[in-house]
Amino acid sequence: MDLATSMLVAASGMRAQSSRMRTIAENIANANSTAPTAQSDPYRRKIPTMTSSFDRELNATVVEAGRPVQDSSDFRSQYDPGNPVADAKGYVKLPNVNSLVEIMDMREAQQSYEANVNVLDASKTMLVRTIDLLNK
Amino acid sequence: MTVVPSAAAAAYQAIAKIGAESAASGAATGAASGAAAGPASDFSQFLSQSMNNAVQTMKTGEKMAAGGAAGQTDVVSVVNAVNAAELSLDTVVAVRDKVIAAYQNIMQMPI
Repeated sequence: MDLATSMLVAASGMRAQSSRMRTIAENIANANSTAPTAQSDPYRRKIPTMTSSFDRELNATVVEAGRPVQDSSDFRSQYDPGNPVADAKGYVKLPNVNSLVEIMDMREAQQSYEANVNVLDASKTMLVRTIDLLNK
Repeated sequence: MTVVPSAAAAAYQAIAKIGAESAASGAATGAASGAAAGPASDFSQFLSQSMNNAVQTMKTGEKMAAGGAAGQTDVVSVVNAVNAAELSLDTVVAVRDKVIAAYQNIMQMPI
């Protein structure tokens, strides 16, 4: 049934956005994590990915959250000679996370999630209104 | 609410037909496990079958809700399962009410 299917498709979108939100949360939480030693690298930013896939059971195209990929851009470095993990010149490597970018990503995830919630709500209302025809 | 007796009879007949069809398709797929019933019990068979489906959906919803409370299932799945249970029960109850109203209308017809 189409309306029931659209509810499940919207649910897949909600699930994908939740997974995206988790990756963003990891990035924001680790924005200032340093490496455990001076030689190793600090946290590397993760980019959430999503792919569309055809669900044979539903006979509809749903969205699936893929594995987050790593952002290969350069790490930030900060002059902090007192830090135990600073290199010989006194610089500390910090994660390549830009808080502003993450905040914008978070807003987008939130909006997409809400759009999917609205689709689910509208489909349910349509179904309930149809069933209500019998109650007159 | 004014009810035209002929409309009531038509509604009852239509549902009986749906019941017969769903029973036939159920038997064809081997899903029907009840005794082979004659045309007289078409509607009761249809009702019990859809009721079984609804109960099954509600059981899934309950299981999901329990899993959600325990933190094993995500909220989206719980909401979906409970939604599906609610909708299927609503449908069965609405159809039952309609058919019973039609049946009562027929029984109350002055002969």
